[in-house]
Amino acid sequence: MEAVNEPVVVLQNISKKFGGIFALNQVTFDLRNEIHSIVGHNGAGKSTLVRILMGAIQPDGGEIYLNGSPVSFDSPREAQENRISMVWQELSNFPNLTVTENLLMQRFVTKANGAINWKASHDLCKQFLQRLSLDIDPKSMMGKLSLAQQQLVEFSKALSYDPVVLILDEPTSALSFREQEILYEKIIKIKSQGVAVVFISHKLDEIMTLSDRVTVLRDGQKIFTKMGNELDKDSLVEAIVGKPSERKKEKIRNTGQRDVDSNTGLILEVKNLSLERRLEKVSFSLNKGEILGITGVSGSGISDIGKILFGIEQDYTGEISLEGQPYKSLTPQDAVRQGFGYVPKDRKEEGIIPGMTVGDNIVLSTLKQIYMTGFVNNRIRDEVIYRIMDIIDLKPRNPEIAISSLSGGNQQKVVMARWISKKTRVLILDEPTRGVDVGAIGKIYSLIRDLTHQGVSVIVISSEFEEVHSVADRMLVFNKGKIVGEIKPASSVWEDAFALAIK
Amino acid sequence: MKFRDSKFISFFSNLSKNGVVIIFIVIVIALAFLTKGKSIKPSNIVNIMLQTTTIGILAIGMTLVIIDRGIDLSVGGVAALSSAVGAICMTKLGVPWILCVLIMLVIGTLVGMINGFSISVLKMPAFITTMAMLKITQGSAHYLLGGTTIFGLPEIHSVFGQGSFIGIPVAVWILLFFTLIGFLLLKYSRFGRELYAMGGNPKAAWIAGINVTQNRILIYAISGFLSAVAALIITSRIMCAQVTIGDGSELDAIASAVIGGVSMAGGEGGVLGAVAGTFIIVMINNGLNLLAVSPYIQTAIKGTVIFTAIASDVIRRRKELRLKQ
Repeated sequence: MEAVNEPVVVLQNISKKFGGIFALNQVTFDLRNEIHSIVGHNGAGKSTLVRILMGAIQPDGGEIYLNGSPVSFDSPREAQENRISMVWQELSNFPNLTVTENLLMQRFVTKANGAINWKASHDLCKQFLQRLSLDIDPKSMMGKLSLAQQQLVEFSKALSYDPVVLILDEPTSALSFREQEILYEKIIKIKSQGVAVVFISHKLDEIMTLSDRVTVLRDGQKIFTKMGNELDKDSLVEAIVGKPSERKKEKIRNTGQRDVDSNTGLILEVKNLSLERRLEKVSFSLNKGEILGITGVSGSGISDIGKILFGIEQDYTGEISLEGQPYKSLTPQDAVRQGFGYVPKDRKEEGIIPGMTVGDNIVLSTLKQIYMTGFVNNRIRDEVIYRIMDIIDLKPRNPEIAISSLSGGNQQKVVMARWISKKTRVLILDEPTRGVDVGAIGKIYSLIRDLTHQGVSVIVISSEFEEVHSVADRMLVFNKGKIVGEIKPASSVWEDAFALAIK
Repeated sequence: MKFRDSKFISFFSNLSKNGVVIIFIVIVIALAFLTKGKSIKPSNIVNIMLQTTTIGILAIGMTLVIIDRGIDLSVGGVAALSSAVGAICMTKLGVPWILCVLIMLVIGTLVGMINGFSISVLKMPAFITTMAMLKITQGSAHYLLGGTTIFGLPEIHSVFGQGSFIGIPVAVWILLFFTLIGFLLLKYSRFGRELYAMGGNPKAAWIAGINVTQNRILIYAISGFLSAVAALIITSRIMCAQVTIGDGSELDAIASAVIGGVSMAGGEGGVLGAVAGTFIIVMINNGLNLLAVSPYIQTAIKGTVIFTAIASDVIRRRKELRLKQ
């Protein structure tokens, strides 16, 4: 297309190392009045590149030019002052306030006496909304709008600061498939107003439709920048994950002694599971003692599987059976009683009890066994706690210290440990390594493997394809709320799964 | 301004950690000096202990509620209602006394359960729900009593407020009994552990499979039950029932808990602290009375004490949070 105009921003030979490993290695990237997509798998360097542009982190090497002159931004604020804006992946608005208040916070139109001039403020808000031809009432409550509309208000807000560069970080990941269409149209409109748009997404379809140019990153290297109309899906997938012949065969996992016997029988069977806007007719089964990976990029609906099975999400359709019996759980408590365990994605908000000790956090789901009479049996309590601390290899081995003094990895092990002492039949882990230090990731996965030897069947829900590949017996790949493939790590590489997830 | 590092702040934050004991000792010594020994006479100490009983019992229930991040403003109204019903049963209806006592306890528990149900099942906010319940119970008590005081309770009823056992008033025994139960419950029972978990992180407790709904109903039921126990002691002490019986007691109970180290943010504190907190409040009241300080300024002083307790709690929490980061 007509990407012949002058570059607004040029990132020249940018390098950045984290702990001796190149997150970005000599990457050059230029941006014009266009929609320029950056694609790559987790850890490819997308977010590092964008954060350098936003001034959130400093590059180790390379130059940044804005309109031809060299610049360096020490903070996102400085980038914003130079008219570089970003719309974040998670919505961060005030649902209890009107659209006008959200859009004009801190810059209302005021009367001579200092009071807010509501009529003028609403009018100004309307003007901003009209730049994207949005038919949204400025007086309506933000929380009453659909997610797509809220996202569009965020776009309007970003545009109201007159940016020359607008970065959109996975703006469609929380939206339904239909809502995404509306957003695309508006993104094109933003470009037509002279804004250079950086678009980050995992969804190849939308990248193909929207992009004037596409830059592919893999392991901190730029693979290429190409015009959108020169690309087809297969070559894009190949660029992101490497050619099938290049995918190292040694990465095929050696399952070792782990003898997966699929004749152990089914423990869990899921048929035609659907959840409005999130999941469509999902069917799968879990064998006894198996580790099943459920993988997909953000917004693919994988988290919802865990929430449904554990009774957090209720409004689904479909059938679930547990060891042949129909299963339906109305609350987590109910799910626990039927032998489920769950490690939530958000450890701080849903996992740990911050005010309590390590020991108390460990026994939280085992209270019934330890307090059989209603009151504590200290002998059993200590026995359970020390046994579990040994199983999870917790250091320091001290149950009396505060849970909040542990590292993220150790906290996660404690949350997992809750389900060890229970008669847990199916353990569901949602993003078990999120916010966990690199050294602890391996330990968490070996703990998962140990659990299966005790007869626990495990579902690992994760968008870290490489990690799941290293631990799971089978991987189900989700794309747009559907299962699009099943990968056996024993006979394929993780890139195969990722290729399916983004196709 | 270096507000965060000032000595002022660290004074406050230390105050609430080991605060109860320190405040306690300071107040005892100061009052003993100021009243020239009158405050530590045995007769006055018995007096203080008697006054501590009712608020202390309410403070135990309040402690459970506040640990769960809630509040129970209805305790005074519940006490008034159960004493009104009890007195009517005893005098006008001629119901056997022991049955009347039972009826009073049942009423308290039932109202507490309604509070708990509304808050945990219907997800109504605790503050406004229990405030409404305060008005409902107070108004009903007023109506039942017809705006008058009911005298003529049977002689045996005086046992709770006026009797004594091995030289110690029965009311004090009752307080000690419930303090012990509360302490054991919080420290050693499964219910206690679950309660702290619910207060520390409600969502995580729910996901860990704890029966949050049932526990929460139980907490408010206990608070209601203890309100009725307090009503028994008060009616027994004054041998009549009147609507003003529990007036303002909810604030005293909350203040006791907070002074005693129960955090309004939930998940922290215990009944021993709360009962000690009651003691402090009562001692200050008592000392100021002995010193013949104007009752108007007494109210202001009590307010200042509560204010200080909450400020030190908030500042300490913030400091701890900073240390972690």
